[in-house]
Amino acid sequence: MNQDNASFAHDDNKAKLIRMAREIADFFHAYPHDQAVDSIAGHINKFWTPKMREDFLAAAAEPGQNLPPLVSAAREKVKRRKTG
Amino acid sequence: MSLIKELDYGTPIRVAEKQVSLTIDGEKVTVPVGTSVMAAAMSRGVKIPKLCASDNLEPFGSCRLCLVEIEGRRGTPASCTTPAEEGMVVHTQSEKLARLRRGVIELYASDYPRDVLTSAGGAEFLDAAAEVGLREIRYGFEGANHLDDAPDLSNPYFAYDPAKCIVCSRCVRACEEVQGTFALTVEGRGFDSRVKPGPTDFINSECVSCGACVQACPTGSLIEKSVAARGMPEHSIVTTCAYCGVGCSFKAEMRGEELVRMVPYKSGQANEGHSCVKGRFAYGYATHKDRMLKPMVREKITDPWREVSWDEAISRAAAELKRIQAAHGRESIGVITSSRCTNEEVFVLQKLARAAFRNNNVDTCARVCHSPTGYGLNSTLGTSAGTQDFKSVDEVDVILLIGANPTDGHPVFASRMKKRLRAGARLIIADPRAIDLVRTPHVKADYHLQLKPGTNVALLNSLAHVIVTEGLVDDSYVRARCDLEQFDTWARFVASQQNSPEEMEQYTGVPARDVRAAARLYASVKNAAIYYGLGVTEHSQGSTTVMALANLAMATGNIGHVGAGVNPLRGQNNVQGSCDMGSFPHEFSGYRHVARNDVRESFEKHWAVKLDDEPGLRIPNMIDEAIEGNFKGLFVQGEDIAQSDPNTQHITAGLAAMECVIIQDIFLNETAKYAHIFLPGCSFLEKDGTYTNAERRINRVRKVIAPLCGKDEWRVGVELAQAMGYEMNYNHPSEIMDEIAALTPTFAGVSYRKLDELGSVQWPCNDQAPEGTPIMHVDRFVIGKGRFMLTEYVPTRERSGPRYPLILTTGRILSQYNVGAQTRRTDNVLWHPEDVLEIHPFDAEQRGVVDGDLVSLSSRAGDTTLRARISQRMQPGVVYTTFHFPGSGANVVTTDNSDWATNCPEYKVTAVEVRRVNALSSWQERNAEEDVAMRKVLEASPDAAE
Repeated sequence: MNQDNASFAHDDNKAKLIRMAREIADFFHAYPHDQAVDSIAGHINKFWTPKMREDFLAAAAEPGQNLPPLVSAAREKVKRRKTG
Repeated sequence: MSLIKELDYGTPIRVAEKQVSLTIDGEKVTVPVGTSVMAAAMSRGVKIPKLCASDNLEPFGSCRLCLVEIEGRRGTPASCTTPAEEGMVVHTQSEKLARLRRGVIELYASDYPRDVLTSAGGAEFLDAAAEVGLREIRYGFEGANHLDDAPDLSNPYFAYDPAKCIVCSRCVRACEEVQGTFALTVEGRGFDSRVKPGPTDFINSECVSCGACVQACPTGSLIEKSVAARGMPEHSIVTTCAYCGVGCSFKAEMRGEELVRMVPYKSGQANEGHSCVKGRFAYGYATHKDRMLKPMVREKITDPWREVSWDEAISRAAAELKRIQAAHGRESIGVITSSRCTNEEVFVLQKLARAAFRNNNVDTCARVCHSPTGYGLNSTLGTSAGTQDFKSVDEVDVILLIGANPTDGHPVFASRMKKRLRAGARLIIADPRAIDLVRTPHVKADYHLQLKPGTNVALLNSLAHVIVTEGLVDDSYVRARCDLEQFDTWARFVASQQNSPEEMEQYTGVPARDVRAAARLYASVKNAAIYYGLGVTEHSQGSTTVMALANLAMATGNIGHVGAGVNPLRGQNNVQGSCDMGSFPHEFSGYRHVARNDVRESFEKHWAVKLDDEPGLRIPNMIDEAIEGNFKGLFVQGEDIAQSDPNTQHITAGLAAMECVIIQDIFLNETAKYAHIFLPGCSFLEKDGTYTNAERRINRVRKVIAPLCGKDEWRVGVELAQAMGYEMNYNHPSEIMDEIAALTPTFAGVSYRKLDELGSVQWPCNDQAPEGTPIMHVDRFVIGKGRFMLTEYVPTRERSGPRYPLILTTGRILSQYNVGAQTRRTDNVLWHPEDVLEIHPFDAEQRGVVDGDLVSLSSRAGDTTLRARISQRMQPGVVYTTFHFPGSGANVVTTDNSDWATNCPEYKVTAVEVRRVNALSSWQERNAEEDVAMRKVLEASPDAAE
């Protein structure tokens, strides 16, 4: 197959989810804090699959992520995967 | 069936409140002021003989055939150039008129070849001769004539035989008035006057091969080569073009089961009788030898393909998908729908995912083009669609054209736009590249805001800054129509100094004075309209840009009336429709989220199945999950993600990691190299269904020939669902539309019967708007109040630097379409045989690159090699290419950066370096080898296929 893993740039899945959350936060940054936090979490809940949300929450909980405050605050409002 | 012949009134139908009444051949006729005598007569069914007149052209009065007598007037005036007047008494036939007309046409015939019986075309001329009773020609060919003038056969699609030309100028005027290219002229005077495409032949001229001249020609001097080869058609079927989002209606003119030519349909409400080179002529791909007509399977993607029966292919696909779900979970498979397919096919496929796969892993290729349009317009205006019909541009005073190149991407609409611009509308262009509309015959943009790629939001915020701080807001509109609290917040935001043109100039590179002047122009008129394309959406701030455009339009009162609006120019034929049909993973048809209980329950009831209330995977997420080992099976219909999606090597790594990739396409495309099951598809000529164009217009697609692969494309999704154990039953695509209407409020009034009656309808079409909605948000926004969104400029993370000092931006060209699968298999390759890299002379000189050099184009994602074209269209520091040829690997270079809201790829900004080389890239070399190895098909066994 035409693959040369060393030659193309791509974040791993978790890093990509963190980056996506940061970019969502960059947009809502212009809004008042509470509204921004709700909007970031709302966006993730509306468009991300449960697995993406779980992966994001797991990645965000890893040490050294240095998340922007808005992303950190929005984590609390990201919906967990339904059980059962 | 018979050949559809449309009525020609001879001169344009005028619209006026005031009417005049006159008498024609003893009958009273009442017509709008400005209507010609010729058109007035035709309105009562009286056809006055004519040659130089056509109702898509302004009257010209050159052929002198349409003479009439008017009581109280001297002579015999031409009816085409004589306006109808109150009380006028007209006679269209008399002995004198008959004699004069016979004399006129006899003179034309005296310099017209007599071998018309052995040549095609010229029916209008022959009809006119018959109408005036010409029986003999008294003049021989001894004197001077044009019979030996050499024909021009240089254009691949039509021939020009000057011997048959009577210099009526219809072709010249069609090129000017309809197409707006001004490629044709009449050279010489008197007897020596000849129609010419400038000082050269057609193929080397400015001609864009739209076909308007051929359509206009009454004598057969300009004629489609296909007609010359196959003879005149005998029946026709009206259908819709499968190229861009304009959605032109065509008459497919047939002889038996053979397509003779495609002729733009005058009653087509999107194109009103005009066409471009792709829709008019580039349909030969439908019967190209590369068409794959048999289902095929293979164990591994390195195996050769083996032809099998439809039953075996579908059974195998179902078994594989079920096996994968059993082993890896319900979420491990998904579907990608196509904006090239019909609404009905898309609806079936998203239903396959939701009801048979039991997940919401369905996405559409609109993900990579206009998904930010849906998000941005829904956030601000409340509907994921443009606000106007195309006709609206006829009333516009100022056009703001941003990130779109209509003369290449949407040529038929561009012609309409140019017509309005020639009539005096003003034009602001925001584009990093000098597109044709910056300066084209009789059109010159008032402002070309040549911004740096990736700075759309900075530019739009600075335009908004001027509008707010200079008191140009339409206060009464905003107070009546918009959420005032949100407006106040937005107005404070854009009024801040950081958004001023002077501050933003450092990012955009656009002089602040030009921004200020452009903002004043946009806000100064009654009707200002925004038109935009992928240069807006395919950015990391694509959705933000769409919102900023909606903000501008609302602030200036430019939503909800003719001549205004926010108008996305959709790329492919059914981008709007594929989005409407619920092929995004988070929403059902009509843009309703899967978490909405009331909506989901309506689908559950209709489909008799429990549906998932969580969003599914988008295309990039599918690929990411495949690489992670979680996503294992994919059905792709009519889409080629291995060529069209960014960061090719990432895409192909994802495809290669899957256990079962199923491709349905008319060709063995790039993605099929990674497939295990191939299902042949149908071209648009083989389909019944509907497409929805950029103006929300639902047009019928009608079957012209039977499916070459033996199966309707929509049936494949149905049969796959059945094979997986979910009952889906339709007898005809009209039944699928009936289901769409039953489940989708904006489509509630749509049916094939209504479409056949009205020609087309624009959604919303329901009880409130039974005949559709040309202009949206007329008295109120569909969400009540318009919502202003804050659009802070956030620079892309893709930055140029010492290693990659240039910015690559990508686009399209007139003669080719998208991944080129269709147009590369037509004579359109004569105009664009390969993708090239446009580079500014300064950047080229710095690198020692001259025109035609082979250059390496490298980015953080990968590298490829193309030929350089030195071009002043680019600004220094920016290079440009297209992605119509798979071997050029443009998307090997693009990255997986994407829009923050929708993950639409950032095709328009990639940091790159360019250097001279003398060989192809290693990717291209491997790709060429794989093209052979991964497309190998075993010899068919005699009993394999049905």
